[in-house]
Amino acid sequence: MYQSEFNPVTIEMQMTLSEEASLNHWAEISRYYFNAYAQEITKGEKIYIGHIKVFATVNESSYFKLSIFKPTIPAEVDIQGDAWTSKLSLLVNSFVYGIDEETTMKVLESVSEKMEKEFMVKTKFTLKPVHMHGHHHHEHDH
Amino acid sequence: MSKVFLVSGFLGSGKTTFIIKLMKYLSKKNLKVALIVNELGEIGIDNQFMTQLGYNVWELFGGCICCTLSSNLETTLQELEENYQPDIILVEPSGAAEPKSIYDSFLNLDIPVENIHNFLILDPTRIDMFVEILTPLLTSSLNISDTVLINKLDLAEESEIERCKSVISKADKDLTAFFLDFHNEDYPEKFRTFIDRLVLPGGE
Ligand SMILES: Nc1nc2c(ncn2[C@@H]2O[C@H](COP(=O)(O)OP(=O)(O)OP(=O)(O)O)[C@@H](O)[C@H]2O)c(=O)[nH]1
Ligand SMILES: [Mg+2]
Repeated sequence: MYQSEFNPVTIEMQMTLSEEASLNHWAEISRYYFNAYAQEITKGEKIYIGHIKVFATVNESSYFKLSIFKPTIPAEVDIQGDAWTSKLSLLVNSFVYGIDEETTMKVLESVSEKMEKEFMVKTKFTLKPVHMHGHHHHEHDH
Repeated sequence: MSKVFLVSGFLGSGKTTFIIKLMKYLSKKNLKVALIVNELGEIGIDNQFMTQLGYNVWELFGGCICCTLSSNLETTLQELEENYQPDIILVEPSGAAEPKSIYDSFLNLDIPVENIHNFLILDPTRIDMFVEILTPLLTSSLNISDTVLINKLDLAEESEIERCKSVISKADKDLTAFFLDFHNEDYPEKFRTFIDRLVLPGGE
């Protein structure tokens, strides 16, 4: 069982723009956002990306999935549909070896600030607290 | 009786990508396919994505399929077999799971070994990391797999592919290996023949 080193951090995010934008445009913004996140979070020794995956939805038929699995390979996005919206909901599962929730939140904050300056996109995010669900998050518990 | 395909591979290797494509291919052959997904994290993403795409997904939630949820896996497999009778059941464990214990669950249910096929997706772009920090998982995954799929051919360096080959050749058993780009529209002829033989009645 290897999740103790690659703990998932789950975050719910909302991005807003002052005007409606196409899903393609949102995918572009998200790509930029999470590439920056991946660069920032892997600064330091012995940090490895397991999988940073993001699911963004506008409605039943318009959504995309974004993936990053290696810092040197930019995010890939699989887009379905073409809705326009000014508000996008995203669900992020971030599995990064050597990174805890606190660091994850800090990095998200700094990337969000940068994105607001550069793209006028406002971001809100909340951490989904981890319920233990009976599985072990630490290696040596008795 | 259903055939069971276990699709293992580390986090982000391409299990879901492989499965979506395989499901499309199998449904064209009028085969009834069911998918069991287990994902760590408070909310599953693959399950939502595949459900949105219109597939029948059974999600095992709230733990890991190789430890706390192993009995849920067994119950789900049994129920599928009794109530839905798929030709093929695909299982995507979490990328952090230990595939050996999932295979053991299949054996516990007396699924005949000839009905089980274990695919391992080996992501060449991260072979260095696997060897560096995940050797035990890599070794045990190779030991239970029948077929290794080395994907991301479009992204990998030649040296990474070579390293994968060398890792596979050092495994304790003879493994069938395929080199693929999962984003390619069609399967290469050799792989298509291989899948057809696996899924057709009396195949394997
Ligand atoms: N270019 C390229 N990308 C690939 C290939 N196979 C998978 N990917 C990409 O790799 C990323 C991760 O793929 P997934 O299918 O989500 O991986 P997974 O193993 O299901 O991930 P988890 O369920 O989180 O463990 C996605 O962006 C895929 O598009 C490939 O052969 N070539
Ligand atoms: Mg997956």
